[in-house]
Amino acid sequence: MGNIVVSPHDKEGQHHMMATPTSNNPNGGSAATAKNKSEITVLLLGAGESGKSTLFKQVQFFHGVGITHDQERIELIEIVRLNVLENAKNLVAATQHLNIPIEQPENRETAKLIINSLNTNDLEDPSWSKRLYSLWKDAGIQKAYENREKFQLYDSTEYLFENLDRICSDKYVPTVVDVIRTRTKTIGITDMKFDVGDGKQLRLVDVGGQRNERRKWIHFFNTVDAVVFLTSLSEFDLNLYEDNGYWRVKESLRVFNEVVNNALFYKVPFVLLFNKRDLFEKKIATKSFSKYFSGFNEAEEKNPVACIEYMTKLFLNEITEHPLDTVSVKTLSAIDHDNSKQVFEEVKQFIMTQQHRE
Amino acid sequence: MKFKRNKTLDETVVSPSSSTPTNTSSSSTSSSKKRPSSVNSDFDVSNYAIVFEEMMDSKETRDLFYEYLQLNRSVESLMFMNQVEEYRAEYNKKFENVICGENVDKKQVHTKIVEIYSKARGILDQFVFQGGQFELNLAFANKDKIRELWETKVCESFEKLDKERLEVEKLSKIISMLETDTLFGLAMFSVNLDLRFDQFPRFSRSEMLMKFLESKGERFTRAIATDISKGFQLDIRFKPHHLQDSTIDDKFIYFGFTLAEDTPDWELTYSDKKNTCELYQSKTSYVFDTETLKGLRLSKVVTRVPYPIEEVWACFWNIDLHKVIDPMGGAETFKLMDYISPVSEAEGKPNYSNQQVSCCTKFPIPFMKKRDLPITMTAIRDPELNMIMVAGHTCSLIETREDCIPAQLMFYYMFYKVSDNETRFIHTVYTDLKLPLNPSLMLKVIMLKRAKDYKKGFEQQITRLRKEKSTKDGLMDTSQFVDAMKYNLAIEENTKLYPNRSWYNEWLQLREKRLSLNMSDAKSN
Repeated sequence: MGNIVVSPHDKEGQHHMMATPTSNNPNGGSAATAKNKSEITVLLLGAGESGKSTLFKQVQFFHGVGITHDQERIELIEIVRLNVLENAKNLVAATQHLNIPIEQPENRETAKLIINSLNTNDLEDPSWSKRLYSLWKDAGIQKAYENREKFQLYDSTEYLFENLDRICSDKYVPTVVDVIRTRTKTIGITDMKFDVGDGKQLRLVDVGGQRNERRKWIHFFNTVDAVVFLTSLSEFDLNLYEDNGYWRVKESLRVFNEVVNNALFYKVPFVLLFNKRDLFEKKIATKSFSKYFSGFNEAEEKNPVACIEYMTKLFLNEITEHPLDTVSVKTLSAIDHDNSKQVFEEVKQFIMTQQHRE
Repeated sequence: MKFKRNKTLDETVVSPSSSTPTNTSSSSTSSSKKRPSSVNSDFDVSNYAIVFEEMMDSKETRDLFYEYLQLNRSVESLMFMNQVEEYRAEYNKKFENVICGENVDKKQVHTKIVEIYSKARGILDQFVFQGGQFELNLAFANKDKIRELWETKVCESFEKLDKERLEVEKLSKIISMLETDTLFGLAMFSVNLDLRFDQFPRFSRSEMLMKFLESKGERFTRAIATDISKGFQLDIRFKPHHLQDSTIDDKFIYFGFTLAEDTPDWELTYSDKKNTCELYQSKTSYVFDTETLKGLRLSKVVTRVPYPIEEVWACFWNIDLHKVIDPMGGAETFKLMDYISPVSEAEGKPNYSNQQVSCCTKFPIPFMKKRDLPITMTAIRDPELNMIMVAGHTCSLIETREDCIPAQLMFYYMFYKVSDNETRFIHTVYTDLKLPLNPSLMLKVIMLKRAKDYKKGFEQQITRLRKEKSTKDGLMDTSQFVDAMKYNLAIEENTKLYPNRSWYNEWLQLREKRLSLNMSDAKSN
């Protein structure tokens, strides 16, 4: 499972290529003819929750589509609130699972309601802001949060709880940041196109990252002009959403190996983005990094640069086929607008330069 | 791919708002009846936001969504939902009439179980279990729960069935374990959420859908989408917690005006020859959380009664008359449990007067249990319009009667003065009566009867009472009537709380504000 192979049953692949002839290169000649193309297809790949869609949303935002408009964001109220509830539910469930009692009786009441009956519509009532915040600040919940590597929890948890006073109001309209920080699991694919000058268009393709989703990736592989592979720096202490007993880093390395060494990408510019640098720096301040990597010097574990260097080596070691001079490595905080803009600009430049070299 | 409905100022066609409520019903008749099903020149797809539930309920749009998902590589979600629906139908067909008594044909039941079991296994193998051909994107915890339920409960009981010595108890246990929602509920919930939040928002803006809706025309579009050109706020959708709260707020009153207004979303389902009695039903769901309020339907009765508003209103507030006029509406069992006077601003958060009523609805259908409707309501008089509104909804304040099934409801009764001798009576109901079998048809039957009852009832009662005893103006004598439900007291006290307040004007302003907001949004595109 989880291998990137064409499953024999999946005949829709061809159908798809025929049905959406967005690519000028349906026969999969890859980058060989790319410089003559008017459209450059860039694939965002990576395991689940590595930040592909977050970067995708940022790029949409720079280009003035989607979430720039109030009306568009109003439609996302429910998703934001659903994120709040899911985080709250997961935290409460974790206290039970980890045997950490919620301390205050009134917070226990709130927890009961969260598990049994609370829904997104209820959060329109401002009184929930206080109740949920009080629950969040409960010593038991905070202790569970400190142990969040032991269960599934969204990265945005703290952010959402700190913004409850806005979210729990009937006048709430999600901000751009709220939308960026909201987690929606991507299923299938989605794409956007924008002009990059010289009469060329860049088509950015976002995909789902969980194992079942990766079986679909193969369908785009032969029309790709560049790959941007994301991996989360802060996942070093986490297990998979789709398989609780599986270490996320191991999964990322495996997926990276399969993608980067794929013969179809041999000549394709390849960018490796170490995402969630912000979270990572916060995390290593309190958690041991070396505990997870036996080859890493413990004395250096509070130094983010050394840690990232180590991770880079780990990933680059996986490359056996792809020419190293067409691989670029960068770090990123996809939730940070300015950083995303800058990094994506660099990625774009790298891809364009590589295309010219062809 | 289109990410935004490309709305420009010129494209945004906004129908002029009806400035007086008097044209609400008369214009609606013609517009609903005569609206051509083909493309209308005013029709602009970008004014509509398609509603997920409606889209899924309509075969044509659901098929289109299927096609869209195929192109976007997530069709397994909808495939799964379709197969589960098939399973549900088959399960219901097989077991709905099986009463597990001792004289049941156990062999036959066993055969049915074997069939449905293998169907269930097939779905789980393909969609849920690891490595399946169309494995869904489910969280580990959920997959694990489903797997455990299947392996340790269903499979175990299934394998233990001894074909030669079948026991009724064991058979019925396994039938209940194979029930659709027991088995697939968790996965369905998760898949539904993913489709709704991930693919659907993109589909709803896709060129594919826009083109399809353009080709289908306005009538079709209105059936599955809501008009957003007037803003989201006025198209208030009803939320479950509104049915818990015991108070009535401004928003709730505004919503009454929104519902009373004619929008093409209303479908005229009945009209008498002179258009003095009409029944409308809404195609659009006004509920956000369809999980808990999925049976809610919106109906509107509009009648014109050729008598002054005072008399028509009196037939309503006199509960003895109301009972006779609307036997189906439950007025017969109306009982005022409590009356709470309004709270003024000086005393705290201002609040309308509050009538707490217990009510039970009976049906003309044999063996149907009564529906219990604990209600909270208030009454206002709008000085601008000379209109009386009674607005209320069910609440969780009063305990459910034991012999009744709890149901959910919100309603408005509105009395408009059309002329000195004519009153328009508009009654909107939004309800889930938890009706078994074809609830929308049953509701239509019930509402149609009520529409006719009101039309006939007001006229009969007023003619009768005028004959019995009339005032010197020739009107019926109401001096002996008792305000048992305290409707008039509610109006009086609410007027004292808000002297000269016109909710209708506020509602109009709110709508205009929303309109201009939308226009500026359109401009910025």
